[in-house]
Amino acid sequence: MNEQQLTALVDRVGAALEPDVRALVAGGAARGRARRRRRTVGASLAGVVTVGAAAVVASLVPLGTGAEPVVAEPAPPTRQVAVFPPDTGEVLASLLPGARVVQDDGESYQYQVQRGVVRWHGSSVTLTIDSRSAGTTASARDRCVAFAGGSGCVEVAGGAWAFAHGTVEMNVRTGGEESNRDLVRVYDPDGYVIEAGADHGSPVTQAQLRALALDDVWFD
Amino acid sequence: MSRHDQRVEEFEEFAVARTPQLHRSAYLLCGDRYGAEDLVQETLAKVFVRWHQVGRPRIDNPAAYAQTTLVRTFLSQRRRRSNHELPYADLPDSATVDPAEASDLRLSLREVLDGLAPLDRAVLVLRYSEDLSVGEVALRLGISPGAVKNRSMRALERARERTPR
Repeated sequence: MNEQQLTALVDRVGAALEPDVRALVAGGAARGRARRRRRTVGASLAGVVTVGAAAVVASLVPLGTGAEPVVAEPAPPTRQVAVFPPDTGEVLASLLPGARVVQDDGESYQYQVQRGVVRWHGSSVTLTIDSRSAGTTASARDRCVAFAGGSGCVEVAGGAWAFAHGTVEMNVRTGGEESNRDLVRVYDPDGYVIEAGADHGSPVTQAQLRALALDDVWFD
Repeated sequence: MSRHDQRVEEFEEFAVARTPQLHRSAYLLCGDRYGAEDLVQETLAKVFVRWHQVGRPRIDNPAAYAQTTLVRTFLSQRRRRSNHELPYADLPDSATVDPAEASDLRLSLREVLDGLAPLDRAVLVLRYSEDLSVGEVALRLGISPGAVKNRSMRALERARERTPR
């Protein structure tokens, strides 16, 4: 079988189908309305929880336990990513008034990893969602600690764990390392890893990066 | 007419026009009528939510958006069920196709798609049902163009082995 034969076969199978279009559209719209209602209720509850959690987070002490690689069998994640890869930059820009979406040429395609890049107040701001471990049974805390190498993880709203870190580059003149990116990585209970980053020294604060990574716009 | 009513009407127009193609892709992906209908409704629900979100830019290309939603929802469902390969169910009889021909179609399609991994099946559907280029399929699925070519070739090779000459 060649490509033309396969196309012809697919066309003939398609012609044999007679879906009840009106019923499908009505069913889809009904599910959509139910999802919107759930989302509205969820957002209201999240607001209440966040206010309460803020005081708790302030008193948390970073962890200092040993870190071992975490491996676990996947299970169904309860949330799904709501933003499609090509839209990631656009949605990120909608969270940062005045931001401009820029072409992401820093990384090649990677299955189940999506990234958006915007320019905001002179800084490159990025947001990455890694779904490769979605559904893992390893706890968000353990995964965060494994990445952080033992310390620096703090629990944040919704059972997620966050770790603030950064990247460095070598200064050609001095031979020393200099920070170039500030990053906040969030491990959520469903196994997703969301990371927000900005140029080091830019006006984007760590709190803003954390808020970007935790925004509920990313998930259903 | 309010802005909300207008958006509802626009969504319905779009959904009615696009559902036959979505259903066709869903059927090719799932291999059975009930799975396809569920997948189409789940897809329309997600598009509905996005369509009505306040403060978000309008969807630039709703047809492409819905198709990507469909494929990603399918892949996500399969991942959750931990299925790596899919059996293929029967093609329903239809008034527009002779029963003997429907049977032949069913067998031919089963030979091509039976046992393919979900991502391979998605590549085939986007390439040969949606008629998308390698680059477009890569963008929709978030994989490299090389991976699209490899998966297409592998699936066609498999089809060749299984189809009587």
